[in-house]
Amino acid sequence: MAIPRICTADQFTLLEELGSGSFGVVYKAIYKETGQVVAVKQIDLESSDDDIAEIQMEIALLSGCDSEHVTKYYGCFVKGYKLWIIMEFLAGGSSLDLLKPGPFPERHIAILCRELLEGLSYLHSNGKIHRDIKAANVLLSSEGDVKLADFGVAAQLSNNMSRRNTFVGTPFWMAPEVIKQQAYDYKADIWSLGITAIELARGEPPLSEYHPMKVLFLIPKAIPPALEGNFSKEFKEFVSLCLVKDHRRRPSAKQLLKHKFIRNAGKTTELQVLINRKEEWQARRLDRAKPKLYQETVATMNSVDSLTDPWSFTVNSVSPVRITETEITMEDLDDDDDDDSLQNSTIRARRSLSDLSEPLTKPNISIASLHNDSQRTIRASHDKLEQDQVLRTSSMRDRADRQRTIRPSRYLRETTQVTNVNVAEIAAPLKENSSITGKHVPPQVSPTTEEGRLGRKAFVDILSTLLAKLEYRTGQSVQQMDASARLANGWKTLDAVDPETEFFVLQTIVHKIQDHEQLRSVLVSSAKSDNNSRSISPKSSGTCSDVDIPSIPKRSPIEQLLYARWLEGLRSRWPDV
Amino acid sequence: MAFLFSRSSRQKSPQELARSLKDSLQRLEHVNEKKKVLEDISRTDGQIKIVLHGDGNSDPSPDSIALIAQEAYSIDLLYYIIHSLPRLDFELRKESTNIFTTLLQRQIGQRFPTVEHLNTREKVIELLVKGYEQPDISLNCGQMLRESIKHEQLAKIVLSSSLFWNFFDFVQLPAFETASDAFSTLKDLLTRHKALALELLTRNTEKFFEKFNGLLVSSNYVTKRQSIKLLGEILLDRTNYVIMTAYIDSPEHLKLIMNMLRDKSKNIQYESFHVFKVFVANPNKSKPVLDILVKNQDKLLVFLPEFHSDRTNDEQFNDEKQFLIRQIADLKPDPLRS
Repeated sequence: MAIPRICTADQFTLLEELGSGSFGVVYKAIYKETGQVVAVKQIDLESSDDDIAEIQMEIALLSGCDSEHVTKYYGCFVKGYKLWIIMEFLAGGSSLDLLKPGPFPERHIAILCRELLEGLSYLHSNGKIHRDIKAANVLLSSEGDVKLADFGVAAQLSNNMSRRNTFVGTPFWMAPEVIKQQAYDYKADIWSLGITAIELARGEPPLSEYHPMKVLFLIPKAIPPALEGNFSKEFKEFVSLCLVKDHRRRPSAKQLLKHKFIRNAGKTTELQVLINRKEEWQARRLDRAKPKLYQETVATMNSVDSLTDPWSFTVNSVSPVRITETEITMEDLDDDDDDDSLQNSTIRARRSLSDLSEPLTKPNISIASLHNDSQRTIRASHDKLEQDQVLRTSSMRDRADRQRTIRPSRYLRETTQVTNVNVAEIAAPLKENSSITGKHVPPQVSPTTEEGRLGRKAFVDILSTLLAKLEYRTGQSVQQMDASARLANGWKTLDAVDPETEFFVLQTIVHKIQDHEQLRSVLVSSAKSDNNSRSISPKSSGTCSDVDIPSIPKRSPIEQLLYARWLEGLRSRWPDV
Repeated sequence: MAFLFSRSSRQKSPQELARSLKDSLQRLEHVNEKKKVLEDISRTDGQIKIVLHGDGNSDPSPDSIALIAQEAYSIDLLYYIIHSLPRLDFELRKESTNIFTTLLQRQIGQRFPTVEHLNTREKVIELLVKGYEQPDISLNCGQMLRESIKHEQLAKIVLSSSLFWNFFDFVQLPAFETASDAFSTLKDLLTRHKALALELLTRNTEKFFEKFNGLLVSSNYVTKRQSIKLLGEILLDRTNYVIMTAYIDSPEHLKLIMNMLRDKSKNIQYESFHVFKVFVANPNKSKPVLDILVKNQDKLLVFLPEFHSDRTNDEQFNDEKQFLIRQIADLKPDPLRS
């Protein structure tokens, strides 16, 4: 390779910007000596949320890969506050970009999937998990070679193949076991590959109509998404194999390479069609943005420093009397009634320094508290970041933002922010403003009529439990879950506002069923034969026979999920707490 | 071909695998045609990996692992594995690293046999440290070294010899990946085994801070930021109390930290604050330190209230800042002088 591992900024000429994100900015650049085109990823370390150690992890992972299916890494160095990572330039762009003109044909998806499986197979056999497989992280060369990119959240499993339980990735593509923070392994990438395949075929990942935070709650409970539409049986089967919920039964990359859908895939050069298609599409668009050219940022220094002149370190001129060290010691000893050795005075100093209950002169902080505050300092700096995050997520509707990868250092803030801000809003589908968590149910009126009282009683005794159970049952599709949630919310609203009508509805249903010969014979007798399900009330802990539902949680499930994860994060950050 | 086939298909015993690997690694030093030898090594590595990790279907057998480990100790295989790293290709270096760290983690009850073995082979640890000098193998060596110094005995080999001082050069190497890898190792060495680190610091206080100050004034932003943070951690660790008191007696250290409070980087300013506070909070300030603070009293009282004043959520920081401001406001020139 022409580019040496150790290089400097002046060996490169930066050209236009290729993309930017939370990680930094990527530029196209030329290695002057040979004219080779490369990609330069610049990470602003001064403003980066991430610890430098995390970025170091990413580089260690990247530099540990040498595969045709992984973007090549050449080297990196620090210039000013920025870390420059020199990587292979892939002219075809990301498959998310290539999706802009429309979904990919099945034959191309087959090729992409095969190449991705080759890449994953390489990573997995090296004990690495990518953890963020999605169209945006799949790059193509101008020849159609497919490469995995962005190792920002990838993990290296240690030798004994221990499992991970860090909560990272991008919600739509995240495997259920990752969301549930169970121990997971490289199979998590296979799930994400399945989601990516659907993304390539439909233009968007499943559940993209929901808020990413709601998706976190939906994926573990819903039945896996399936590929629907006019696609071959093989393709649909391949996707369903990737999306087996139990990761132990999900096939590995090596096994999937033998699948018929993959075995029959064509050559990578065919993918050039997708690149050409994108170029034509872009040429047709009038609002073609001009490429952003690289401009050296002038270090903007805030004038936080209220001093203009430097510190004064020349002390000699001030002190009129010079006292030698021995003299001080002598004075010291004279002053001390109880101690008469230097040794002792040091010990005394130590005691007062380290004893929490014995503050120094008149402070509310002793040195001792400074001593053990390295933990709190970390927390404090996180508080600061949380605040930033709240500000940022107020504009979270933006698609790019919705696809943002959750990194370990970030989720703590994100989740805290979510619990603080508005769970109900997040829980609702983006399209409408309706809530499904019941938070928006209007205040209850007190029934004034007998019908109203009976309606309320029916709600309290029977319906509220039933509705809660409907909402929290598992093993349904998202659409089913959403429908139940809407019914529950609607009914709660009805009960709160108009228990008379509630009673009327119930009464009518019961009457109509009794008048209906066929329904009566089925419904009334089956209800009698199953006494358990009739006696459901808040007091009895009876269970529905066909639905496995836990008792009603006090918090909303999202709150609970996030709270648990937040606690988990705290624990892993401060194990001693 | 048939000959090759029958040879490679015959199951070698664990001991034979260890010996065969050593033979191939040694041969690599003398032959010109390396391709064939590298293929042999790759094949042997693959078989050793199966012994150590199982083949995916079955778990590894502890007996076979014991046999291969015993043989590795007696023929000094770990030394040859490290010694030959520069001559291997990219993938084989990873295989070697994998075999080394797997053996290192081997545990029988409370004992780590490989650690005990390496404790008698200081040369291996030395080779790992020197690995930072070669960009091609620095990350492999760094990984093995960090895994090694998790064990106190092996950390001691580095901390009690001149090897340790090399790290002050390694962390300033131009390649970020090597420098930052070396920094993590340096940090582990200084914070993981506290008693060991204290011993080093006590024996070499002056030399250590002289070297460390060199990192604090580095032109490399990352070196500077990581080292000021590490300095804070070292000084504020109770174990290192004596070191801290020695450190904060020195006016030279105070000058350096006060200048860092005004560094262009906010992160560096913030980390410097956590060192600066110790100078101010010290009830027994040395005269030169007190003199500097008194001399700059007015300036500090202008500077500190504005210092990171946007950090409103950071209660701990703001408490400490207020405390420092009061302390500085109350500063009086040495009473003995008046």
